[in-house]
Amino acid sequence: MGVSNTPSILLSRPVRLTFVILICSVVSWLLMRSFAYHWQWETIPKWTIVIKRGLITTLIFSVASVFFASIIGTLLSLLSISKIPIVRDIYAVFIEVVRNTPLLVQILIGYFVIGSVFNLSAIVAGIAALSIFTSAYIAEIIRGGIESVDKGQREAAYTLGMSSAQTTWLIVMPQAIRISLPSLTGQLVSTIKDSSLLSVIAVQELTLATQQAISNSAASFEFWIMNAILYFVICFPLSRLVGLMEKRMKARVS
Amino acid sequence: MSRLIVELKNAHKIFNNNVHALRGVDFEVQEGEVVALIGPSGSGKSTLLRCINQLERLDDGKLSLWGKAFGPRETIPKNLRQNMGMIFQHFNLFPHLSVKQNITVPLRAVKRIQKIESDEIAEEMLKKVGLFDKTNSFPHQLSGGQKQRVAIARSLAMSPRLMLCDEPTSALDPELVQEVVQVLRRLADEGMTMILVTHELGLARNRAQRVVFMEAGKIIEEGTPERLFNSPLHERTKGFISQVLR
Repeated sequence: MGVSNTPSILLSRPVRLTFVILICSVVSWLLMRSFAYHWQWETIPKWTIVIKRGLITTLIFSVASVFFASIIGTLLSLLSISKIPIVRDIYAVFIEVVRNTPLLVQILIGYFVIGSVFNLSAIVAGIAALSIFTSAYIAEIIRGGIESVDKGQREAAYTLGMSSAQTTWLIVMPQAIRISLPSLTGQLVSTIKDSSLLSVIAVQELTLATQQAISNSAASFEFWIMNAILYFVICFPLSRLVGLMEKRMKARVS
Repeated sequence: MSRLIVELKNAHKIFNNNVHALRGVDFEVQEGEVVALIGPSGSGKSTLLRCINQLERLDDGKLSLWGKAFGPRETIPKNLRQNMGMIFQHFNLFPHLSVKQNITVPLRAVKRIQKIESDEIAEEMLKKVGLFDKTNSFPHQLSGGQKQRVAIARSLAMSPRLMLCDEPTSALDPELVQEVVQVLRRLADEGMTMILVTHELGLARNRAQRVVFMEAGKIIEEGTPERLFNSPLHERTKGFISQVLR
């Protein structure tokens, strides 16, 4: 039938993606024009300093939260492999409570309840809430990593005379963390997006900065679109990195 | 008068899935002896080996090591555990560590010695198994035979007095078996006490002083390799040997 095995240039992925983006842009542009709205994109540059500060705050909060959450999560994951049943139960309860209540509520409780008792600033309460929330997910990621380490590794360490703690820290954890790296990077993407909720307790991150710009300029459409684009520009490359890391890891295993 | 270093009396092991892997096994090993455990798969020979260093716990019976007796609920102390090296079918090298670190990291953790000393021991052991040139390689860069030789070097670095070998050549390509067998043979010649679970009947015949045939969780018969291979007493031993040697 004359069908070539090599896909036509018109069907290659970059071409398809460009096409999709082009169509979406045209449709959005037509939609935007049809709104009875006076577009004033030119106001955005006036707010560069505020937005930039918000963006930096978002990044600092996200990286700090993932950093603390990695430490807490790693320690938590150790509870999940404890030989003592009650310790494993404590782990399970913590994970279920954190994962089955909204982050927004956790942030509000962290600031208005726990924060007011211990007199915490929004910054401390915010990082703490985000860290604890994220730590539950990281603990589960690392637990998965630990479980995927072959049990022969523990047996070999045991027969060499290593203690249980030595086996965990020198043999199992390094492998578990390596296996978990793509998922941990993925968690950073989630945390960057989740950090937008900190705006409710007046942390000056990207989303709150956007709101401030809007309330002073009345250009809400423009700033919200810009806000979404900024999150996307940060998160998208990180998400691609996750895919790349997974691919590399698969290549190493096989 | 040689010394009894391993003694199992009426050993029973029942796994969670109700498999009765050991059904009242009596087994002993003298110092300096090389004992080969043979038998069909599922006969309990690996379980027997793993009960000696408590990778598996006995459900009933008694384990004695260097004259000290342990019941099913008693844990053998760390120093006795260190006396027993183990070689696994799938090598179980640590993939995130280099060949040298596979030896030095456990060595330093267990013996609490300086880096220089552990490096020297690692080099000496790698020379012994003929892999000095692979010091800085990683496990995934090695062939199966090389991996197993590193595993042997890693185990020897702890200066064990008994080597437990769990099918050390079963996962190897046929052309790589001999390099591992040679290392094990040399170890036997140096007087190491060894218990070998093996399908490599050549090694059993050549170096073992005693061959033990197991089936269905029991020791069916044992004897010198010549006696057991040439004139097995038991029908089932006969059947197994003729099958394997065919």
